[in-house]
Amino acid sequence: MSDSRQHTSGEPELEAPQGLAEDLAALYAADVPVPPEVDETIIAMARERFVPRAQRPRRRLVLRWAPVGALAAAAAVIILFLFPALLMRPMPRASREAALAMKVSLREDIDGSGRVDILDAFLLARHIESAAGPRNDWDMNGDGTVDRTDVDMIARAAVSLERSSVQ
Amino acid sequence: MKTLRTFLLLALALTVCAWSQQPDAATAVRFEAVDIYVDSGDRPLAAYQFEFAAETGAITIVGIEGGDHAAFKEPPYYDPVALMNHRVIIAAFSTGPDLPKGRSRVARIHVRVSGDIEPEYIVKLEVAASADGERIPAKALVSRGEEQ
Repeated sequence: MSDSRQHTSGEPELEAPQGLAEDLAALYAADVPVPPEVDETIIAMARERFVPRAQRPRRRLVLRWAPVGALAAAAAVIILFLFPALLMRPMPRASREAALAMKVSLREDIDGSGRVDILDAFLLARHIESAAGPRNDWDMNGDGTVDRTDVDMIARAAVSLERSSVQ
Repeated sequence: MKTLRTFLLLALALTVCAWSQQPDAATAVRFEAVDIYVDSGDRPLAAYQFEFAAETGAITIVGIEGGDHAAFKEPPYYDPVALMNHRVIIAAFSTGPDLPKGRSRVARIHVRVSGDIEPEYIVKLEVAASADGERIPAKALVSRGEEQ
């Protein structure tokens, strides 16, 4: 029973003849001398391989990526001419709404609503036309008087595309 | 260097090919006017601000006019950057006693439409106010004007 288990692999144990084993041992145990030039060449190649990227010559990097850059430029040009509508697509609506919803605290926010809109200009215009007059700190352009130019300044801020996209 | 030159030549060739496939500019570009109405119901409209854009299509805003009513006849406030752009924020107010009620055209936007895709315009009313500066509920509507 135990014998059948030992031979289930079907691989009989092989043993090399004594003479062959000695010859092989003599062959692979030989001390092969390596010339110092070979050592230096290998070390030089290793140094070049493992040198930090920042210390490598830049020109090689440029040459390596030049074809990729040219391909990317070609693709960009094709997309630009074939699909101009992609470039002119409006900003995503959700982003615009999020941008507009963000509260800001600005000097132009006359009504203190947290955002600058046409109502701030309207409120200032009404104050200018009223008997009470506007507050001095509503002098937006700093010319010493609060007048229609300050109203216009607030109105321009309210409709500024740059401001509405960064808020 | 030779590889780079090859790729640049390839890019140039593809560009010329793409350019030749462009539709005829004379037939693909047209102009149209878009009217913006604000309906303030039974409240007098003294101030408004809305954002206008095209959801689809390639448009360029080329001009902006005021509205029908005397209170908003003058060109409204807008960012000059909006011209030659695809969206704009438009606003105006009037401190005068004569103010429109109900549905009133407050602005006309002239756009250049490029390509065959029919633009779908959206207008979002950001604020509307009565003569006393109180915010009022109102609706903004967009309507295509005459084609040119």
